[in-house]
Amino acid sequence: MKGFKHIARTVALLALLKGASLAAQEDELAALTNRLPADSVTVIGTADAPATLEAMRPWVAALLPGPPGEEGAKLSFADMLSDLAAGFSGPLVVGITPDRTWRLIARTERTQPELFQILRKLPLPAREDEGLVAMGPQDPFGFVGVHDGLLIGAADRGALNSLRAAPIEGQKTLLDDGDASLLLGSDEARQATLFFFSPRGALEEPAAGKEDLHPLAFASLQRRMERALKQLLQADATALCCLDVTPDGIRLTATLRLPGREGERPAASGRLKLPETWPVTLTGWGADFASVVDWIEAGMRAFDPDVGAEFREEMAELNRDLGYDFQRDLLGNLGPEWALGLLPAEAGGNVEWVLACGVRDRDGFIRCAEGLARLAKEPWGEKEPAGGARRFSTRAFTVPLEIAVGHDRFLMAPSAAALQRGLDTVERMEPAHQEAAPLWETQGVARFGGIAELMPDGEDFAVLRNPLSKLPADAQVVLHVWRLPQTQMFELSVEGITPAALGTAAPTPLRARR
Amino acid sequence: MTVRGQVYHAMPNEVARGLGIPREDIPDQENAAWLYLQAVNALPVEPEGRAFEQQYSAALKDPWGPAQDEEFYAWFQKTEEARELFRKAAAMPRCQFPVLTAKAGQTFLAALMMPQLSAMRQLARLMAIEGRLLEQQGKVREALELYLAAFRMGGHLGREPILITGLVGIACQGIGCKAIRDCLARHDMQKDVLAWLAGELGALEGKLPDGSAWIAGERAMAVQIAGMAPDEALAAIEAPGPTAGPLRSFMKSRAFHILWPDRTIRRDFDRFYNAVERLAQLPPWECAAAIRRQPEEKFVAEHVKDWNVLPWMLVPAFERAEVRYIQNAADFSALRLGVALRLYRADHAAYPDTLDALAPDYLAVLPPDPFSGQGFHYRREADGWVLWSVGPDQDDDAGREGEARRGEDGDLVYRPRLTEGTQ
Repeated sequence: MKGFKHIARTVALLALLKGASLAAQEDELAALTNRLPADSVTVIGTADAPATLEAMRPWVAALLPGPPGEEGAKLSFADMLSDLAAGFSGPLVVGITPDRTWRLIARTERTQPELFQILRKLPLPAREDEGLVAMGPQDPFGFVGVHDGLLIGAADRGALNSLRAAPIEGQKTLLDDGDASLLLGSDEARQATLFFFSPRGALEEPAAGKEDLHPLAFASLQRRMERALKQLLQADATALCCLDVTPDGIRLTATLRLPGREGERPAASGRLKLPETWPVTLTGWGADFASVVDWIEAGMRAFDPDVGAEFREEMAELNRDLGYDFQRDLLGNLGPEWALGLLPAEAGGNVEWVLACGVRDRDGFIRCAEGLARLAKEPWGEKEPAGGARRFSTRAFTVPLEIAVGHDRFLMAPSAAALQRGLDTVERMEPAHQEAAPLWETQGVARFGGIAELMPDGEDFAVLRNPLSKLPADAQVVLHVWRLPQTQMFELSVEGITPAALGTAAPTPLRARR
Repeated sequence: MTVRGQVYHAMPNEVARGLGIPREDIPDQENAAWLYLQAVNALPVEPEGRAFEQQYSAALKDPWGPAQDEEFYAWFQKTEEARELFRKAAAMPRCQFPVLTAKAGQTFLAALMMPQLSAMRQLARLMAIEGRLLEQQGKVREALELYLAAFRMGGHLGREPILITGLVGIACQGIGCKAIRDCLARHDMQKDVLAWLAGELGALEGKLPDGSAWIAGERAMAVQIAGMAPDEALAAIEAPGPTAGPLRSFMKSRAFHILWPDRTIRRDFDRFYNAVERLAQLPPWECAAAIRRQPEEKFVAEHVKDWNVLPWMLVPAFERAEVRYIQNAADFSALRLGVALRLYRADHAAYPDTLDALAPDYLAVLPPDPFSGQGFHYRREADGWVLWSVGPDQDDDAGREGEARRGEDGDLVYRPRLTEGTQ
C-alpha cells in the first residue's frame, strides 16, 4: 500500500503545484532564486539554510568524524557546519551558469566583519580584499560579501556584482519558465533539506573545445555516451531533486517534467508480490518489454545514427535467423507485471534468484524461448509439469536456467530448488486501483541484513559484510519509480539508519579516526 | 620451425590470404627467406659484458682489427656461417617471410611473431663491420659487395606487409647506404669499380621498401580486431580476461555482437586505410605535401568517427613511417648521384658545375628529389660538392641540415665526406 500512498501524494501535489507556484513567487526563496541568472543550468538551494546545516550535522559527525585528539576537535566538520550556520538566517540558493560560474545568494543578519570572522574559523584561507572577503589561497576560488541584508558570493567579482540588484521588471528570470516555477515553487522544494533544480536543456553538451580533438582524450566518446544516457533516462527534462535528511534516515526524490505521453494504460492486472523476508526484491507493473528494443535503439542513435542503424540491421538478422520477431513475439508477449528477487541465504549455498513475469500467450512464449535456445546452441528440455505449469530447463551465458510457464506468467531461476521456492511464495496481489494507477511503476527494497548474509565468508567481502551486518535489523533502501502522463517520479529512501547506527557500522579504519 | 631456439608455426599461405594478408606461392628453393632464417639461426649468441659491447659499437664506427678487439674478433669469427648464408640470401631475387605464430593454428594477426627482425638487423651490421675489415685489407670491391648485400636485404624486408618489418628494412638499407657512402669517401676508387657500383645501384632502383606494402597487413589486423568482442581479443592474445563465467559468455554471444557496433568500426577502418592507401600511392612529393597539409591527427579525425578510439590505438604512426620511406628513397638517389659525380671526376678530373652534366653519360636520367619532384640541389665546393634534398618540410633551406632527419625544418644534406660517427 505504500506505493499508493506515494502516488496519491504526488497527484495531490501536482494538483496544488500551480497554486503553490504562484505563492512561491512571493516568498523569499523565489525572490532570491529570481536574482540568479535566467540561464542557470543548476540551482541548489534551501528555504532554511541554518536548519539544513543543522540537519546534516549528525550525519557529517558520523560519516566524517575527523582525526582523533585535540587537533581533531579543531577539524571537526560537524562543528564547522554549526559555525557556518551562524552566517545565515533564511533561504540560500546557489546557481551555476553554463560557463561553470557559481553564484550564491542567501539571507543573513550578519555584517561583513562578522561574516569574515565566521569564515576565518573554517580551514579556508580567507582575507579581506577590496571590500569583499576573498576565499582561497593567492588565486581565490570565490568572493563573498554582505549587501543589503544578503550574503552574496560568486566565483569572480563580476558575477558577484550581478547579484547586488533585484531583477528589473520585464527582465527574464528563472521562474518565468512554467515548469521551473511549478517545481521550484512546490512545497517539496521549500520543505526539502536541500533541493537541486535543473531546467530543461540544462544538460546540453557544451561546444567541443580544441583539447577534445584527440579521441584518445576520450572526450568525444564521453560526450556521446552522455548524450545517449540522457536520451535513455530522459535526463534533459526539467528536473527537481530533493534531499530530505532527518535523524531517522535520508530520502531522495526526483521529479522530472516530461512532454505528455500518449498511450494506453495497461489493462487491470494483479501485481506480483515477493516475500518481505527476501533480501532484495524488485517488482514492476505496466512494463512494456517490447519497447526495450526501441529504447536501446534510441540510445544508440543518440550516440551515433550509424550505430543505431547497425543495431536495427542486427536485429533484423536475428529475426530472420529466429524465424520470428524477437521484439514483437517474445518481448511483446511479456508483462505487464514482473518481479525479481534474491532469495535469503542458505548455508554454503550460492546466491539464488527468481524472476517472475506475466505472459500473455503461454504456448507462443514457449515456442519463442525454445527457438532462442536453439539459435544460441543451448540445451532445451521439458521436465515433468508441476502445479499446472509446464517446466523446462535450459542455459544462458553458462548459467543454468529452470523455467516454469503457467497460463498467465512464467518463473525462472538458476536451480530447481529456487524455482520451487518461487512457485511456492510469489503471490499475485489484487488488481491495482485504476484511478491512481501510473503508466508504469517499479518498487524495490534492499534489506542490508539479508544482503550481508548473502555475502560469502572470507576477507574479500569482510569490508562490506561487517558494516552491513552491524546496521539495525530493519535498515533498508527503498526504491520507488513511477510514471504519470507528464511526470516521472523517482524516490530513494534509506530507512532505519540513524547517524548513531551509521557510526557503529562504519568500517574500523574510519571509526578509529575518532 | 625453430627460430633462435623458439618453436614457431608458419601460417599456411591460403589461411593468411583468407585473413587479408597478401601472399605469393614461392617455391622454397627460390625464396630467400629460408636462407635468411638459417642465417638467423646460425648467428651465435653475443657474449655479455661491457668490454664486448664497447668493442662491438666501436667496430660499427671506427676501423677495427683482431689485435685491438680480441673478444669481439673471436665472436665475429663464429658468425662466419651466418654471414655466408646471409650473403647468399641477399643475392636471391625473391623473398617472402613465413607468417609465424607462437601456437599451431593460431590466426590472430596482432599476435604474429617476427623473431628474425633483430637478428636480421644485426646481420646487416655485421656486413658493414666485415666490409670495414676488407677495406683495411684493400679489398674495396668485396667490401662494397657486403654493403650492397645489407642494402638488398633491406629491400627484401621492406616488401613485407607489416610496417615494423618495412621500417627494419629501411634501417638495414640505411646501414648499407651509409657504409657505401663512407667507403666512397675513404677510397679513391678505380673507375671500373665505380662503374660497377653504379650499375649495381641502378639495378636496385626498384628494390627499395615499398611505402604501401604494409597497408594490407595492418588493415587485415585492424579489421580482424574490430570484429572481435573485447573478451575474444584478450583470449586471442592469451591475456587474462577481465571477466569470468556468464559475463565472458555474454561478451562472446550474439547478444553482445548486436550491441557492439563492429560493422561501423570496420567501416571506419576501411575508410581510414583506403585514405592511407591513396596517400601512399601518390608520387612521394605529393604524399609529403599532403602530410604537411594535414597532420596525422586531423587526417585520422577526417576518416574515423570521433568516438572510435580503436583506430587511434591500433593504427601505426603512418605519417612518420611514410616520411621515412621517402627519406630512404632520397638517401638512395643521393648515393647514386654521388657515385655518378665520382665517375664524372674520374673522366674530367673535376666535379661538374651542375648535375645536368651527369645525364645521360653517367646516369640515364637524373633521379628527382622525392620530397620536391624537382631535381636535387647541387653546389660545387672547393673541396668537393654538396647535394641536398629539400627534406620533409619541402622548403629549400640552401643546404642547411637543420632537423630534416627528424621530419622538421632543414634539408637532407649529402657531402662526399665521412658521415657522422665514422673516422
